[in-house]
Amino acid sequence: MEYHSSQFFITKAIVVAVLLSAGFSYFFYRVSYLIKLMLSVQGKRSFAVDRIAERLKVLWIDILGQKNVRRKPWPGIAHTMIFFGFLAVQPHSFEMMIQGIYHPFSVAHLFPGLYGFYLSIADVLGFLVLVGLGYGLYRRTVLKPQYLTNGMDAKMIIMFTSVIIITFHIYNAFHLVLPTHGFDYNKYFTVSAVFSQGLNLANLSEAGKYTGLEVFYWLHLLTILGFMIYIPGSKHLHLLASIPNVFYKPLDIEKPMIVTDIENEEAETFGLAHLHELNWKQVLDLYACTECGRCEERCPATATGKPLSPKEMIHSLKVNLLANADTLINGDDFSSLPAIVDDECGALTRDALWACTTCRGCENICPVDIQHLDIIMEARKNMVLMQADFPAEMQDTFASIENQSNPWGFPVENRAHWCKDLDVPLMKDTPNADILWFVGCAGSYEDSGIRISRAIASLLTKAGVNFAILGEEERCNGDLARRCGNEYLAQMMIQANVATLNQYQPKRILTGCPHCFNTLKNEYPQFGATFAVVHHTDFLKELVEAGKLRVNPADLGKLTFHDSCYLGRWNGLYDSPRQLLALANQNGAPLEIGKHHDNAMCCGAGGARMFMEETVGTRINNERALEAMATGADTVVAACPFCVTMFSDGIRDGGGSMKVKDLAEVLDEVCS
Amino acid sequence: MKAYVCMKHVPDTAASIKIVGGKQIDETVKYIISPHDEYAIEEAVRLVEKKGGEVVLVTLAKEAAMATIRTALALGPHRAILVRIDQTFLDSQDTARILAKVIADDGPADIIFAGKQAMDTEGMQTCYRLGAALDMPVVTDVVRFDPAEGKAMVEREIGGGEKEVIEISFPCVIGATKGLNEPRFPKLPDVMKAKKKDVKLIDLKSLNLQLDNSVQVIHLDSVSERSKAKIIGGSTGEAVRELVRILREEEKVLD
Repeated sequence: MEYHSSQFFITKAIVVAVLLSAGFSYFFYRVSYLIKLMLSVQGKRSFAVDRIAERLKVLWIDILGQKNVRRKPWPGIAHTMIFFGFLAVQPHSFEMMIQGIYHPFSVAHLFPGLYGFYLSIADVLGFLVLVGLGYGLYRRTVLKPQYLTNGMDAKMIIMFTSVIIITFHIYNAFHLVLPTHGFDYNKYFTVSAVFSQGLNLANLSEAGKYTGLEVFYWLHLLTILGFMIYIPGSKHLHLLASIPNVFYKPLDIEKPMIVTDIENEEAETFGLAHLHELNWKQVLDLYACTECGRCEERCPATATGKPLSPKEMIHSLKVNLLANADTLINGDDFSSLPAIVDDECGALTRDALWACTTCRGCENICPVDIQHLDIIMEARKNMVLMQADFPAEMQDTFASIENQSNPWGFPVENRAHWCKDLDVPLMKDTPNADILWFVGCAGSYEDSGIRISRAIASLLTKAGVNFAILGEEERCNGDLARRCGNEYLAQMMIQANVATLNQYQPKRILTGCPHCFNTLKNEYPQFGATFAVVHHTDFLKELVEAGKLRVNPADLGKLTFHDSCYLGRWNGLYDSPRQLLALANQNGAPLEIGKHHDNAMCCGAGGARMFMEETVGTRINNERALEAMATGADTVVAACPFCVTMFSDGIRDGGGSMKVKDLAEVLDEVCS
Repeated sequence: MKAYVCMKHVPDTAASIKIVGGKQIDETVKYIISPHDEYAIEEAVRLVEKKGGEVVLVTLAKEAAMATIRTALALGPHRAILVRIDQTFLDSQDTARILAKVIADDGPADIIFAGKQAMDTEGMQTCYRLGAALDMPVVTDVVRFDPAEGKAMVEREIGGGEKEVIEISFPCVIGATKGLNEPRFPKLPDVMKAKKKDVKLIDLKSLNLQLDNSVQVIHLDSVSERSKAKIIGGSTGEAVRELVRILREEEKVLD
């Protein structure tokens, strides 16, 4: 057959057209099926789609700018190269498809300048895909990090992508040795020229050159079609799902938990038990996951041998969702759907569900902004409210909170006993105080918490702050009950506090605990108490800056600072404690623990874990204490009474001699 | 099967109790189901879940007990009867008489469960007196209850780690104690249903009972706070010398 015969072009056009329409039809069929599945779930969306300009900006930075994915530098750079390179060859592939059907089509001749510019860039970027994939292959075959799912799926994706790029280059390499028809490819192809020379294409016969061009045309086209068909059923679905998922991400660092209307007598269930109770955004989360494992690498539960991996949870949910897609889409009997938490067939076992410390490391690092905790915390709610199924030891804690408003069951009447000998005023005596200090349960009852409270009281007095506490009127802020799934008990506490706060209308609320801070600041507005809330780290910094507290730097030895999850990842508060420590210590800024700021590992106390047994694997606090001890610091400073307790235990268990202090204690030593 | 559970509304064991006026306690503290009564409720509910029938909660208290009754109803009883009294302390003979009358009027009972003792007064008499008043056999300190047709095998603690196994025929009074079961944690729908369950209010006077008031509270005193544990530091020698000094000079137990 003549290469230029019209018979050839007609046959080719028919075959290409048939293949393309079949390929695209199948692709769109699969995608529309996934969309249908996504819209078949019945959970209520828990967020507002607002601030569109900001959301577009996030897309610009995180998708087009690839910023989020580069927080893990090497894989991030590799991903960026693959992303741009793959994107860059698409117009060229598209042109090839059109040319297959209508061979005279040539952008080169319509817009030679622009096309030439495009080709020269696509040629280089295309090659960068190979570099990126090279790193990917190295990572998967040599480095083999544990958190990375290294299955067939990943290999197929690497194979598809690299074949697409290699055929792109070789196809273009053939162009370099064939008649140009007025468009000089030699001016634009750098990498493809190397391929051309390397393969010695110029020495081929003309027939050989044309055959080669045709062979690589088909290899390229068929691989693209194959990949397109492959994508919707693979983790590479993130290509489509990550963009909307990032667009719909919660824009603020602060994320309140979902309010469950526990008074709703119509409600048949509370929390999240079955697949159909997910909302469409959560299904989009599942589609967006590429199993990159960044969440698992961060997870303190995974790291200490617990049966929880945020990645596995998302993956299993996706598998269960797809396996039950027809039931969900047909909307018939949902009773056959597997429970989300089930030791046999759930996406989470009970042990996995309760292992979460809600540290939010997973959500924070996820390059496609999957909201793991929305699932975990809602599933916990269902377990507690609907099934009364939770770690047995929590029953006493719940009873203590319900009866005495603190998790240890100390008498509520003794809530202000920690400051019996101090002159700490009560709100009921001084309702117009400038600062309402919400002391918290740990700060009121627990030994190290009391030490911190006394230091804060001393600092406030030195600074001449007009403050008062609630004393017996204060209740547990509700965080631990809420994050343990007991929304009923949490709301009981929250509503009591909200009523008290609304009665006093405080100008500002100070908290000595990140959990009180987070709940009062971000979740009390859900219940009708919106006040300015400040954590003591920020407040002490204000006092120092205003000159109300004078810091007399002392030799405090070597200090290191541990970021509390609910200050850092949940509220973005990282700087004030470090700045204060640098001011207080003659030896300068605190040393950083290996994992710090938003990468800091949890102390193990969050998500009500403080009150649960930790019997599986190693202890999170012990691991974190070892990390802190590795800095060689004399003292580890935290800004949370729970972290302080966890560190004290961890350092003791690790045989260390490092001291543990709250920031307030350190400041109290050096401030006048 | 008609099972009754006598439940007492008592101050939380964790609350800090204040005495008011020498004879009363400050009743603004948190009140709870007397802990042993929780085992009684759980066992009654389990029994009726198995055999069918009804669990009726009976409480003798001020009207403030309503909150505690709702909490208890969330644990499974079908309805409740609150006999309203206006005093905090009631003689156990009178208590038993009132309970017996209310249960007889509402009953007849196939079985009556109660905690072996109330956590506030710790009298441990009501079960026996109730059994006597209703002419029913009584077993208390029950840690195992295996019902059969018209009777049950029960295991009771008799001290020293020993247990006694008794066969008891219905109707009877069972005094529950720790170990009998693990009381359930109420599910939210149960808490919501409990708000709507029937609670019958009965005024003590309407029962027309002759009460003795033979035991009266004359005076209440708080237990003096136990002194805190002291850790004696230093080397063994120093610690021993210090201990001897404390025993001799402070505690005066050595000459």
